[in-house]
Parts: sequence; C-alpha cells; structure tokens
Amino acid sequence: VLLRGQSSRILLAMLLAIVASIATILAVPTRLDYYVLDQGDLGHYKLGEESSWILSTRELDNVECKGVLIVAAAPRRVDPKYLAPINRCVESGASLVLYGPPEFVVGYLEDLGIVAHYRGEVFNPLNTARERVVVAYLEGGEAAPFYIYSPYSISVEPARGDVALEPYGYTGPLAFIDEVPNELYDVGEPLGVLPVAYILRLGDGLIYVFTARGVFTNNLYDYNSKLLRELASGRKILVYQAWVQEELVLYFKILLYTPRGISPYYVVATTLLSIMVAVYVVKQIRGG
Amino acid sequence: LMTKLAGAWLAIALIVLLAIFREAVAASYTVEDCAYLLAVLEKVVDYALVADSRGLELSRMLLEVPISPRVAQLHRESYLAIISYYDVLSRIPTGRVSFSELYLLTVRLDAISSYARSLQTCSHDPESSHAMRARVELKLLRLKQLILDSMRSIGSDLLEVQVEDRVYEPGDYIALNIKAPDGCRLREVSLYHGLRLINRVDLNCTLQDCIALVKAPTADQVEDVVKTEGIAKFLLQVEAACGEAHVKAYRFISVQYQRPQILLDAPTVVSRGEKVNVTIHSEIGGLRGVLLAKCGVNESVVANFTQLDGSQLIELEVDRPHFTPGYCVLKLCVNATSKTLPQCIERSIMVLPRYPRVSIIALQTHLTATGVFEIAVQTERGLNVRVKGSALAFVAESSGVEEHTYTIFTPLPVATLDIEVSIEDPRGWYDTYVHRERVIVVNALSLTALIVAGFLAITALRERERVFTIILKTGGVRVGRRLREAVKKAGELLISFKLGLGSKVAELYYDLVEKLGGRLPEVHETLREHFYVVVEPLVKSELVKRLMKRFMSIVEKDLYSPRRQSVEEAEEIYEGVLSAVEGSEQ
Repeated sequence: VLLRGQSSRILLAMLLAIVASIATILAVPTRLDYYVLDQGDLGHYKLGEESSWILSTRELDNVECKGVLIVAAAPRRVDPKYLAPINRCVESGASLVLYGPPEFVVGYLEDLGIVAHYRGEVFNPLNTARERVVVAYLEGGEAAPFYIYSPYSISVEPARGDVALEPYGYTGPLAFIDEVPNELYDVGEPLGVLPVAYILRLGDGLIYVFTARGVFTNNLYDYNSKLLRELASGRKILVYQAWVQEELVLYFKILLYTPRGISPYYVVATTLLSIMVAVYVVKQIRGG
Repeated sequence: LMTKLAGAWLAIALIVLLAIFREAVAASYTVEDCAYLLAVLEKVVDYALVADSRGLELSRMLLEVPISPRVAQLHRESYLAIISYYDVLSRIPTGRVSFSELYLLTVRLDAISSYARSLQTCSHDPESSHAMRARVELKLLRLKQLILDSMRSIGSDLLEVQVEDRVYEPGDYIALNIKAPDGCRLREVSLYHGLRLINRVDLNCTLQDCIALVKAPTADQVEDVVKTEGIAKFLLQVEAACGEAHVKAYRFISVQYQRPQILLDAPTVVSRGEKVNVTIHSEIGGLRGVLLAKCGVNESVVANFTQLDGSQLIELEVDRPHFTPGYCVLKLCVNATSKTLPQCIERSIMVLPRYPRVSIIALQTHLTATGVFEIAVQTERGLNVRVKGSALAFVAESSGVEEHTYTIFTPLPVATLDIEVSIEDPRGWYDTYVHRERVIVVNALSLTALIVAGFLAITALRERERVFTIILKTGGVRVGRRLREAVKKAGELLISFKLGLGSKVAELYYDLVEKLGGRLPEVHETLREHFYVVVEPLVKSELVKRLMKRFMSIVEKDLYSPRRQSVEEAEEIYEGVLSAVEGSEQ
C-alpha cells in the first residue's frame, strides 16, 4: 500500500541507495596485494596495524625524512609520479624497503637508472616448512635468518652512474633459479647461494631491495617483524599506499579507514550528507 | 532454525577437515625433484673431493630432509657414506685408521653410485640428467682413488705378495707367492668381504718364501653377502710375525658369481580340481629347491626336489588348500650351489572356479495381478541355495530337494528388481556360485490404486489451481504442513488485490455497496459481473442505478488504467447516492 505513493517510493529508494552505497564501500573486497586492508597472505594488514599510512604523494612532503623507514610494495608497475616523492625523501635521509613482483621491483630500479633483468623464480625444495617460503640470511650471517615468500632472481647490469646495487641478503646453499619455468630443477640451472636482497645508496638514504613477493606481508610479518625493527632502528615506519589511487573504490575505502579501524567521522558525515540530498530531492519532486 | 544450525555445523566441519587436510599435506611433504637431488649430490661430492667442510654440513642437513620414498634409503646410505668419508679423512693424519675401515668405506661409497643412477631414472628429464650422473660417478672414482692411495700408505711393504691378477670362478684355488724378510714368520692368510671374515688359511711355511693356495669363496658360502650377479671384490690379508710386531699386506681378489638358468613351464589357465603337468628345466644338474604356490597372501610349498637334472616333470593337483580360484603365482626357488647363487623365478596362472550344475528358471518380465511371481532353481543335492532380492522385494521359499521354488512379492506398481541366487557347497567341493538377474515386475493392483489416487488428487487440485499457485508463492515449503491456513491467507490476499490495493475511489465504492446491503466481489468475479449480479438488483431507483454504474466505471478506470481518477468526483457520487436512497426511503 505504501508503495502506491510516488513520493514515498522515491524516499525509500534514496534511503536504500545511500545505505547500499555505504554498505558497498564497506563490503568492497579488500583483495589487493600489498593493500593495508587486505588480510590475505600478501596483504599489508598486519604491517598497517603497527605503522602509519601514506595515502597521497603530498603527505611525504610534510614528513621529517631522516626519521622514517618507508615500506613500498605494489602488485604491478606503478606510475613514476607516485614514486617520485619517495625518492626525494630517501635522498634526504629516509630508508626505503622495496619488494613485490618483478614488474614492480625491476620497474622501480629502472626508474632509478639501474638496468635489471628478471632471471627466474628461486626455489629451495629443502625448505619444507611452508611452500614457496625460502629462508634467507643477511650478509655476514650473524643476524638471525629471515623469511621471504616467492623469491626470484635478477641480474643487474654494471652501474653507469652513482647508484649501484650491492648484494645484501642470500638464500641457503641449495637454492636454484628455475630458468626453465617448470618448478623443477633442470640441468644447467644455477644451484647454490643466491642473492635475494640488495642495498642501494641514494643521496643520504638507503634502499633495501628484496627480490621476493613477500617480506613484511601478512604471511611472514610475525616472522620478520624483528628484521623490520632492525632496519627501522627506532625510526617511524610508514607504509606507502598512494599507489592505491589507481584503484578508485579501494582508495575510497582506505580513506574511510584509519590504522585503528573504520573512521566514525567519515561514516556519520557521509550518511548525513546523503540523507540531506535525498530529502531535498524528494521535496523537489513533491513540490513539482 | 534447525536447517541453519545444520548448515553452520556442516560449514565448520568442512573448514576443520580442510585444515586437517592442509596439515596432513604439509606434514607429508617430501622432496620429489630427482634432478634437483642429483645436482645437490654432485655439489656435495665436489665439496668432499676438496675436503671442504661445507660438504659435511650439507650431508648432515640432507639426512634430516624428508625424501621421496623411492630413493630415501639410498639417499640416507649415500650421505652417511660421505659423513664416514669426512670422519676417516679427519683421522688419517693421526694414523688412527685401519685398512679395513678404508676398505669398508670404498664399499659404502658404492651406494652413491646406485643413488645417482636411481635419481637419473626418476628425474623428469632422464636424458639430460645422464650427464650429471656421469659427472657424479667420475668424481666418485676420484674419491675412491683418494681412499686407495691412503690404503697403500697404510699396508706394509715388508711382505711381498704376488697373486695372479684375474677374475676367479667360485671354488677356484688362488695361488699366492709370499716373500717375508728374515726374522719374520708367515702366519696366516685371511679373506674378507667388507668386514666379514669369509675364509682363513694357516701358513705352515718354514722358509721365508712361501706358496700358499686359498680357495675362492663358493657361491653358497657368500650367498648372504653377494646379492647380485657379477664380479665381487674380496680383500686378501696376509699376516706375518716379525719378532713381536705383526705385519700385514693386502690384495684385492675378484670372483665372478652367476645365477643358474632355470625355466618353469605350466599352463596359464587351469580349473580347480584339475591335475596339471609342470615342467622344470635346468642347464646345470644337482640343483635343490622348492616349488611354491602363492594365491592372494597365502604362500605354500607344493613340491620339493632334491636333484634337479635337465628337465623334470611334476604333476600338480590344483586344489585347496594350496590353490584358490583367482590369480595365482607359481614360484620356483633353487638353493645356492658351490658355483651358482640362489635363484627364484615366477610364473602366473589363472585358477578357474569349479561350479555345480545349476538351472535357474526366471522370466525377464512379470505382469502380475498382485505383485507375486516365482523363480525356480534346480541343482544337485546337498547344496545350499539362497535367493535375495533388492529393496521392497520379499522372498519366501516354498519347497524342494533338487528343485527349489521361490515366491517373490513386491508392493511397487512397476519395479526393476535385482534377484541374487547363490549356491554354496558345505563340503567345499564346489566354489560358491552366484547368479544375478534383473527382472521387471508390474503389479496391476497397486498400479491401479496409484492411478486412481493420482486422478483424485489432480481433480481436487484443479478446483483450486489459482489458490494453489498463490500458496506456492506465499507459503513456500510450508504449504503441505499449513495448507489450510495458507488457503485462507491466500484468499484474503487475493481479495485485497481484487478490492484495489488502497484505491480511495474503490474504498468509497465498496463502502457504498455494503451500505446498500450488498456483498463485496468474490475472487473470481470482475467488477462489472459483480455490479450486474449484486448491485443492480439491490436498487430500485433508476437514478441510483445510473449513479452506481457511473461510480463502478470510475472505480474500473482507477484500478486498471494508468491515470488515477478524481476522488472528489467519487465522493460527490457517494453523497449523491446516499441522499437519493434516503430520499426514496422517505
């Protein structure tokens, strides 16, 4: 009976639309690797809970660079415009931890003028604890081992400028590069200790490059949190998420959240605004 | 609620099972990549060749790694041998290594060769892995050479031992020409395989030069240590007493061992109870052994022979307890002789069962009035006959010693029944015979009952087709349980649709009809039908009739046309009718 009234129907539809739009934003799946709201294996949910988020390129301009360690990882090659502010900050003394798929890491290095090539996945079948997790050691071998997920090998061409990539972390002695991509050892494939972490000096800062898809991701965060603290050396940890702007819905969702959970101010403000618009529209229709 | 609880429980159980499965998968992880294991082995042998301690560390680590069961044993033996190598290597400078230990090490290193071969075989690309395996074996030879060099430095050069360098036959005499320095007395010659002493000969030479004869071990003497055909290496140790010191010299002796050529000929298919001829043939005479039969898991001796010479015919009765129907294996095993190692060969035979004479009389299709039909089974006396039917088939035996008649009843209108007839022999002479038959049975009585019931149900539902449709929509799955309530609800629902879903105009019209003393429209009535059947006969005045007809058409337009009608006009007619009726009454 209520539905017979044209105006009531519109009002109801508007309210439903508002609730649905908010609910949709909240319920949008967070499945995006290296995204701070993603609780999957390659998400940054755990890292995000214990660090601050950088959501736009401008935010880094207001940061005291010498006192921060930036963690940057993305599921694909990112537009250099999102990465330029990081490099400026590193040159001013910040440290940067870089990892992710080869497209992202090799692409980032290319933007810095370093020519690197992807050689193949790194396997160590003797690491039986978890699939595709490889134990690695920092140079010197005195520090505790750390874990990397789905590592790969790169070859780096000799440096032509000031920037040079130096090996910094290695696998155990029986890892191999799967140059013929079949996840099996083929005769002639390199077997032995393989570099999977590099260090790079840029201005006054340092870049730690891990050639692996996961280092401080959810699946390994608990194991590697000590390494993160060592790399940070008491500095503030920032998770760089400005690249999420390329995924508009997920970016809107991240804006609704804080590192401690959903922001109530955003939700209340959005809901009130939506209801006001709805009421105005309904009145206009009735008046017409 | 119960459905939801059950669903939730099922989901939780599924998650738990998945978790357990994942754990099980994780727990059962083994390294299966044979090519990788071969590359690792080569790396470790490389380290061992240059006495790099990383080889020892890796070997210890590799012992802990779960490996594919196909090569696990050889993997373990190989890395234990490498660990022993490092151990011996560390003790050589101190002189605390015995010759026997070094000799044993060379034997143990052979496991690496076998391991490399197995890895090549199970590799995903055996052709390419061949090169790796060849490299490993080459490096292994160099490793053995290192050990042999160490052995030479340990053996005494005080004794001069000359022995013909050839491959001996088992039982051959090996002539040794031994020269000892003055002041030494030759004591004995010992023959070892690994650490095991095979033979010892006392030397009774009074002179410093001595010729001794040592017998090469016969095959039956070493059958428990020499497992494969081919050349076996033995260590010859010559011992002399020089004053209070004992001096030893060592030499290797090669002996060739073979297995005897034997043949077993038997028919491939036999029936239980038959007598069959089995022929055994041997190229050499004097063999002793047994003929075994293996049916299922039971293995038993069916014949012994003590002097097999040339061809021998054995008559076998294929019957219980040695033979049971099915796939069996005849296994001929001969003992080791002085010249030949033990040997077993197998031949498979199929033993067919022995069945009694049986005749089963049963039709494929039974058209019955009451679902009862019979089958007859004729067989020999003294056998147990049993008949079983599938679900809803009831079997009763009626009579018989040789001929058994079974009455089967099914209440189903049309059924496909599986009937199983089994005939057992309590004496065990015959094997149990089972015959299965699928028959179609039509029960005219229950079929008629079903048709009548169906007809009645359809007739009853036809009357309420529309109601039934609404019930399905509104009542959902609870229709059957709450049919009565649902029918009532559906009727009410239909009326509210019929009366116009909140149309103000319609409400006024129906109110007026009720005030005039008429009833509201039924579900099946259109507004116009209702007017002619109910409203028109109620009023006498032509004016009121015209007003009501106009009112009805306004309601029709309001309900069924896209444009809403003026409520004011309806109210005017409403008032007009009421006043006209009151005027006429007065």
